[in-house]
Amino acid sequence: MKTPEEIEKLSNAALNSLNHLQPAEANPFLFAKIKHKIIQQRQEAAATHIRLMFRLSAVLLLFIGINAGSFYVINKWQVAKPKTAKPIKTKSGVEAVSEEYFPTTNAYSY
Amino acid sequence: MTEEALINGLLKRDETAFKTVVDTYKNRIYNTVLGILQDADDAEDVTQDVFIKVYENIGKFKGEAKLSTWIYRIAITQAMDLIRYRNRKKRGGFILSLFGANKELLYEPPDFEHPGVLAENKEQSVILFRAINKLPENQKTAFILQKMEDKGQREIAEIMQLSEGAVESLLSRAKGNLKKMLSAYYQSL
Repeated sequence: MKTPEEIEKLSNAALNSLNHLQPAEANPFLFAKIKHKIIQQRQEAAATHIRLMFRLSAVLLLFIGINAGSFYVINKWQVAKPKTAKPIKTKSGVEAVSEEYFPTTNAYSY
Repeated sequence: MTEEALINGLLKRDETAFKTVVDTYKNRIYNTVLGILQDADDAEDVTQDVFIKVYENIGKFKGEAKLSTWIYRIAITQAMDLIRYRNRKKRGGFILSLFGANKELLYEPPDFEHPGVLAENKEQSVILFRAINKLPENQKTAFILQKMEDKGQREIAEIMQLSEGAVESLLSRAKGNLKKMLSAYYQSL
C-alpha cells in the first residue's frame, strides 16, 4: 500500500513524463504516398463513374429493347388481324348523305 | 515561399507549392495526430488524408486564420472523426455481440509508447497516455496541443476556435482529471 505522498509523487512524475518530448518525425516519403493516394482516389472515382454509366446504359438498352420488342409484337398482331376481318365497304360522300337523310332500313318507322 | 504564395500555388494546383506545404507542416501535423490517435499507422494515414483535404479544399480557405491554424483544425477534425468512428463501431459491435452476431474483437487501443519520450520516462508516459485517452475530446485536444506541440493558449484558442479563457479552463480541467485518474491508478497498485 502506497502512502498519499508516494501516490502524489508518482502522479506528478507521470504528468511530467511528456516534458522534453522529442517530436516524432513523419515518414520521409509522405509526399510521394500522398500523391499516390490522390491518383488512386481519382482512379477509383473514375471507375465508380464508369460503372454507374455502364449500369445506366444497360437500363436504357433494356428499356429500348422492351419498347422495340413490344412494338414489333403489337405491329405483327395488327398486320395479321385484317385477314380475318370483314373488308370495309367504302362509301362515297353522296351515298353517305343520302343514307343519313333517306335510310333504307325501317329502324326509325314506328 | 510566403504563405500567400503557397496558397496561390495550391489554388493553381502547383505541385511545388503542395510539396512545400507538406514538407513544412508534415511533422507538426503527424505529431498532433499521433498524440490524439496514439497509433503510428493510423497517424500516418490520417496525416495523408489531412494533406489531401488541404489540396482539395484550399478554395474554401477564407484567409481569416493562418494556413497552419487551418491545417491543424483539419487534422484535429480528421483524428477525432476516426476516434468517433471507432467508438461507434465498438458500441455497435457490443450491441451485436449481445445477440451473438459479431464475433469480431472490439477495438481497444493498445498501450502507446511515443518515440520521442526520454527513455527514463517511457513507463510513466504509457500510463499518462492511457489516462489522456479517457479525457473528453476538447480537454484531450487542448492538452495534446500544449504538451506535444508546445502551443501557447492563444494559438490553441485559435485552432480550437475558443476564447483564451475557455482554453485555460479546459487545460486546468484536463490536468485535474489526469491527476485524479493517475492517483486512482497508483492507489490500485
